[in-house]
Amino acid sequence: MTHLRITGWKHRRDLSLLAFKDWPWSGVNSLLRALAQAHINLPFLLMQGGGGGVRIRLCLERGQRLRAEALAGDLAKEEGWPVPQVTEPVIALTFYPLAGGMTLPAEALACLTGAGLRPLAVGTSLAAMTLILPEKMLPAAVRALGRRFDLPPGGLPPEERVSVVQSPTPRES
Amino acid sequence: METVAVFFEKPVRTYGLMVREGHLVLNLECTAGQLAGLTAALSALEPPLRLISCSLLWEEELACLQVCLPGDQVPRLEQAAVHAGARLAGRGQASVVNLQGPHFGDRWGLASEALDGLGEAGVEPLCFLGVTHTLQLALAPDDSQAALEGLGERFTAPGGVNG
Repeated sequence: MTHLRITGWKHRRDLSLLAFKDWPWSGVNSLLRALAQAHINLPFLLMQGGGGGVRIRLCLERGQRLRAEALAGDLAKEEGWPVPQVTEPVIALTFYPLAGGMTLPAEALACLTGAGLRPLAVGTSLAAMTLILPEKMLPAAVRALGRRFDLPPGGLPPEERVSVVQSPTPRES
Repeated sequence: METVAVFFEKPVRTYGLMVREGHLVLNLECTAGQLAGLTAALSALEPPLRLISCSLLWEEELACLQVCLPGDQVPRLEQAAVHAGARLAGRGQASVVNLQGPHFGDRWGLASEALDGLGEAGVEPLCFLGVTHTLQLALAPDDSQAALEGLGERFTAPGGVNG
């Protein structure tokens, strides 16, 4: 069987995953506003709407988890919404190209689930796919993906090496 | 580690704003075993399914898979889902909006700006994903125009929509 080619991959580590369920969109707006005011970045954010409310999976740097959890907890307590569940440490593993097809996500999920591994969340953008995994699962995930994908040399995906500092002072344009 | 400094700016500048209309979104629910069967079946399809967007999360032991794809691709996905034992929890028309920008995955406040813009336009998305350089929203088709107007208050694209 021909291995599938990917042109690049990377990972971001030392993240916390917060999982929310049954929040209304108005509550989600309040939560994201509070996190923005606290300058907490969300390297991964997935929200699926539904009849019972919004399901949210958000990742943030572990060092900011306590603050984010407190902000979410305050909102949950005020409004009677479920408090978030925390999983950490997790990583965000991104690889590409997506190439406008189902091949990459289907093959990746087939590799992982076939090996008994369960990604905590998955999202595809225009060009790439990102998996959220427990950090300790990374070596097993790479082995599983390597059965089907022609992975770049080096064993593990490179870690992201860019840190963005954003001035809190808005620049009106 | 390379450090990049940027301003928080309003409106937020993007590289581009893309809208893809006339697609279908399917919400599927399945167990881990069913997901393994479904994804194995999908990976074997020839030609491969064309995809607009895909997301997955878990509620307890249930995988909640949301797939947006062109309408002509849907029968093959539904067939594979039924064969795998997955439950079709929802199905509807959708438009997908992508906002691409510099370091969107590394800057606080951008998702909040997008949701505030939608909220002011009275729009609740079907799905919202923020990852790497992208904010991606799936919308009911009737909400697309209002959503673009709401987003346009807070984000600028050099060539306008699909420019």
